[in-house]
Amino acid sequence: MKKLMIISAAAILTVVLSTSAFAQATATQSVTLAVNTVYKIATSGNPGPLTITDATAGVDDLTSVSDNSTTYSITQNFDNTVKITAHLDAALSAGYTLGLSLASTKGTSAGSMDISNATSASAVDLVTSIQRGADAAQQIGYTFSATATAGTLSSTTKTVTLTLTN
Amino acid sequence: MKPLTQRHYRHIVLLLMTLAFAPNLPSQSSAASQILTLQVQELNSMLVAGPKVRFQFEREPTDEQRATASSTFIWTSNADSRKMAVSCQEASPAGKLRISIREDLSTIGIVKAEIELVDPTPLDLIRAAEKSAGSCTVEFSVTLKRSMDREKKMMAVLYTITSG
Repeated sequence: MKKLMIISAAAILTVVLSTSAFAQATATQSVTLAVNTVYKIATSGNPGPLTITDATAGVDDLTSVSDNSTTYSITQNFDNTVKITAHLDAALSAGYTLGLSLASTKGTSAGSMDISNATSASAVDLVTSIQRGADAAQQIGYTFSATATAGTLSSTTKTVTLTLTN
Repeated sequence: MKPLTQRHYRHIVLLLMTLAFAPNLPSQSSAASQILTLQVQELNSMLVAGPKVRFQFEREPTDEQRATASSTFIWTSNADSRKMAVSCQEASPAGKLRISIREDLSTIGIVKAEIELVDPTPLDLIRAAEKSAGSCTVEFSVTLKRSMDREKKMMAVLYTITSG
């Protein structure tokens, strides 16, 4: 009987002590989390000069030239319906044609599109249905062509703006 | 019908604000620009199509004889006021070589009706030619002199496009 009492007392003491050992104070904080809509597009630089230097006798279309040396990268978390449009600062004169293509692994590329007359009010869709996420180092392709009847063109700079938008 | 409470008015205001601003919400975008340098150089390209122009005189040249043949001249030029000239690289003692263009090229430039090549001096066949690409039939006419030897003669005709 005495032995039982000793064991019981020891058990009670153990429980009391162990309870005291795990006693702790708590505090809580409220954290407000938010992810805003993010649209980012950047290019790797400017393409080289597009200079037409050759023609075939009897053919009005001069030999076109291309540049595939630059890339673009995007990141967006808005939706799966985002697109990239392109426009020039000013339209090209008649007889000169500028084609632009954007590769894409996150969206649907329209292939080479004529942006000769695309201004900010009439931007051309280049990639559509872009999925959320990032798409890095995708190729930008330019093709410049002209007709003989359009005449020569002295060195001219044009600004092409790529816009990631919904 | 119950009168509208302050709570109702608050809901109506919230609804109107939502409707007012909703169309403007999705207009977010990001843009990047590239600078392009475009240029088209002056280009003049031409060729004469077809085999060699051959004249064959079957009979003995007892008098002046005339034979004709033709070839196709094809060009592309993106410059204004070009002239297309022809010359015979060496004077021909055999006879006279005349050249003319069969088609009406008045929309392209000023075409000389016929030129006679007597020495290497280039003669203008078409002047003040506008920017164009096209082709025309060049007709050659050779008048053989009576004193010509019965041997084969080669004559080279040079076409040039220059300013002017």
